[in-house]
Amino acid sequence: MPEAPGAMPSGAARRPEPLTLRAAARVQRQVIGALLLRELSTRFGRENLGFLWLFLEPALLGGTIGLVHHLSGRGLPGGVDVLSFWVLGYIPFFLFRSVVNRAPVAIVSNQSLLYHRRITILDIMLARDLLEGAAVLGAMAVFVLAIGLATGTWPEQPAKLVLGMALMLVLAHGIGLLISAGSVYTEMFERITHMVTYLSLPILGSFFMVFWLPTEVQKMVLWMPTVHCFEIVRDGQFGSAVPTSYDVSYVLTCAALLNLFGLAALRKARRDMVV
Amino acid sequence: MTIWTRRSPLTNPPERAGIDPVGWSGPVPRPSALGRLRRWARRRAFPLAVLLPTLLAAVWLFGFAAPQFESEARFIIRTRQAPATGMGLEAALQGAGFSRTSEDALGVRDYLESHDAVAALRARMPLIDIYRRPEADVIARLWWSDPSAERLRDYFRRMVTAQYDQTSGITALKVRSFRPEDSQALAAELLALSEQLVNRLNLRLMEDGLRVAREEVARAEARLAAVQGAITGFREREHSLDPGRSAAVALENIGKLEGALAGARAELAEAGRFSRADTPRILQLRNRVEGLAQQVAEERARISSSGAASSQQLGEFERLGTERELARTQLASATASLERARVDAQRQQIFLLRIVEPHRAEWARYPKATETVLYIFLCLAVGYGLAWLLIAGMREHAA
Repeated sequence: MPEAPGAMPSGAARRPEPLTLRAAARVQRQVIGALLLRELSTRFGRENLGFLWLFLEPALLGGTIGLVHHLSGRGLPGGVDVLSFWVLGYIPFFLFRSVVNRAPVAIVSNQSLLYHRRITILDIMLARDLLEGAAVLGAMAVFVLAIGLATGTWPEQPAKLVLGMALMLVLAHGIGLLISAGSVYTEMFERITHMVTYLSLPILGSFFMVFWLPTEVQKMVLWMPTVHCFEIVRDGQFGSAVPTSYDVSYVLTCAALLNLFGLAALRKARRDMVV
Repeated sequence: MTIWTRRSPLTNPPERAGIDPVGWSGPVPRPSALGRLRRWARRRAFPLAVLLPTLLAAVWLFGFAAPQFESEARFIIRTRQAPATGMGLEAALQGAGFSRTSEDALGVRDYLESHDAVAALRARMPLIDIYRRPEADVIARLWWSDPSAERLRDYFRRMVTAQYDQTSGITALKVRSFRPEDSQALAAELLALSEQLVNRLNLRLMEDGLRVAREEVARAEARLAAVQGAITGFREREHSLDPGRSAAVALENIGKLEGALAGARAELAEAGRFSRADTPRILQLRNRVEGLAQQVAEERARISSSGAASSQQLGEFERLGTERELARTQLASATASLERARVDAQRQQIFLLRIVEPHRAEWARYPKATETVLYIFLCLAVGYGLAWLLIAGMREHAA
């Protein structure tokens, strides 16, 4: 826009130009990047192992669970490798659980940041969830490498491991948005989220494979979008050694709906929020 | 003390607004056509991004899309073996569903969706003509008049599905095409192809199972024939049917002769006590004794002269006899195992049992216009909502 020539009466009166969409997107990227770094420091600090905990947390939990089942010596139906089955079942679940469980406190613990004009709740949520996703994906990569080196079975399609985790992240992100929006209105979410995530562990699909079940139960179970994510991850790891059934478009639809409602709820919640 | 306040443009008196460079941007050139189009599109984003595509899809699906008729057939793949019953949950989990899954049925399902089936179908029916009927609409029909095998298979997989139900073991074959009779013919042909596949598999299984047993029988037969030949050769060479028997007969002869000789001697001794030595009766008896003694001596001489040869012959003959017995036993057991293998193979045989014959559709189920339009609308609306929310969130950073 051409500037009108002439003296400005005073600098204070000048309204900043509205940025174009592309510039706004760049600002948002920068904000999210900065928030990521901040989240890293606040969550893990610079003491003892520091950022290493980011990977160690899921790795230790997944590894222990896998090891316990490995040592128990009970084989799994379909001849699936015990250790990799449990580890690959647990790590995506860890992602889901930590994203969803952190959602109720996401706004409260970062409320002070919202005084900055350019930081929105969505930025905070995105930064947290991206960090979580990157950490868990890193832990998974370490495990896949370790399993590959130890047993010589490498993932059949590594892209599907990433796809499954990404879909899981998007799903969990949508649920997290809804929960954090709800937490603005009531504390109930903070109280029951942990319980619900633990209780839903058996039906999320992390510890069973769809083909173990009779067809009728399979149809019921496949309504859960998370089940598809686990199946995609297993398909990526074991390939055609075990039959898997999933529908990427279904997960995408679920994730899109959850995110749509989550974003809308967040918009509504922001107006009602008392900062 | 001065209090600095930020001047808001709205607080300007209206008469100054025209001159104030803050509130007035000066003359703005009329935006280019492209720019105007973009502004126009931005103002009508929802109708353009959601309603228009939905409307186009609806017009196409309700107005122009050719009806597609579906023909469905159901079959079951069974073996003669009785299915395992009484599975508990534990057993079901341990069995991992594999026990429920008949790999034969899965094999048939895979075959139905394979290029093999497409090629076989193409050889028997004008597959490409069927999917390029004049009434077919331009989107749904096969786009190429001479498609490569891969393209044809991809298209075929869209139009033909085979689903296997693990619980019931039933495979449902669904065929879509632009004419009901085409669908029915295709489904019938596919069923026939599946039956042929099952028969081929059976034949192969049977052949494999029986081949070893048959070879065993053939070997036993050859051995028996060889032994029989050796025995015949022996007999021809030695001019003797059975050396054991002939030796026994000779010994029996000697025994009889010696018995008669002893009798004759006893008679002679008895007669000699009461008669003179020259009575005719004594002479007759003496002659008889002499004759018999001579005959005994001859017989003994004959046996002892051929003694060595005969015991050798006997040994060889007995060896051949044992060999023959062994060969007979082997043949008997090989025949029995062939019989068993045949029964086994028959029990393992798989059958394709038709449950539902392909029917002729009377009503075009596809394309499911209402459902598809609704689905398109919902998907686009959700996508639009997401994009709007995300972009609005982005714009907040521009403030």
